[in-house]
Amino acid sequence: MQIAFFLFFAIAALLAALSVILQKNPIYSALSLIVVIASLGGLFLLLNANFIAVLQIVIYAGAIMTLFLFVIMMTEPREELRPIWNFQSKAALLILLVIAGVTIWSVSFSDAQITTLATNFNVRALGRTLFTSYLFPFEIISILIISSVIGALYIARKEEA
Amino acid sequence: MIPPSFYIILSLALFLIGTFGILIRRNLLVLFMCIELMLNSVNLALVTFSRVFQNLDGQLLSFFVIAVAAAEATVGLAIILLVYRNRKVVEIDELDSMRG
Repeated sequence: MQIAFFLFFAIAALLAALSVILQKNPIYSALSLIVVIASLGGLFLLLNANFIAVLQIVIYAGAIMTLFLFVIMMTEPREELRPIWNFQSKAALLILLVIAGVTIWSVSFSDAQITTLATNFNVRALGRTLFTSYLFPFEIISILIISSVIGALYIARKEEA
Repeated sequence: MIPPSFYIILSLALFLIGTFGILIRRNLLVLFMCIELMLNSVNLALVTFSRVFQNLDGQLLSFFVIAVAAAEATVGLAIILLVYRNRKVVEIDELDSMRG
């Protein structure tokens, strides 16, 4: 049963990721990226990361991708969008395939297993860790988000000429 | 149970697709989406290792990655809007006023 869910989400994520980089229209790219994000949310559920799965759907698919769609609708992309396919991108593809091969080769030596779930691996423990040992990074993140919102408003404001 | 290496290989494939997308596309918004794809694939690897080692730090790190990605998307999209307002293009090969 788990392997069926894994295969479903993994194949959906891979096909949608290819669709992100191959679609000519950025709107379709954004919709494919939503499919990737939702499939990864399902994989997070399979990995017992319930809280991260909810964040993935609510923040990524809900908030960030809506922002993307608004900005795509405000700009008008050119119709002609053929990909860059010169010598450099072919060489880059070759290097990426080599990296993929080396990584798969090294992963094949791994005998790691997903063992049965420990009792302290749940959202309660996650929240406790977040607000004790990770409290300082959490506060820094809040400052970062406030300053990025102010910065975005400042950058994108209308010039009062 | 599914071996963790399957998740790692899927994460690798998504990361490489994102990298290749950055190399071949011209639209700034699509480049930004490829960056989001790469961030997501890293999150998958982090959550997988968190599950394998039964250690919640990986999940917390991916929580911070999601928060930073939200901040980054806000500022990046504002910059793209500003570029579009000034130059009326979002294609990177048209943005060559600095002879890049």
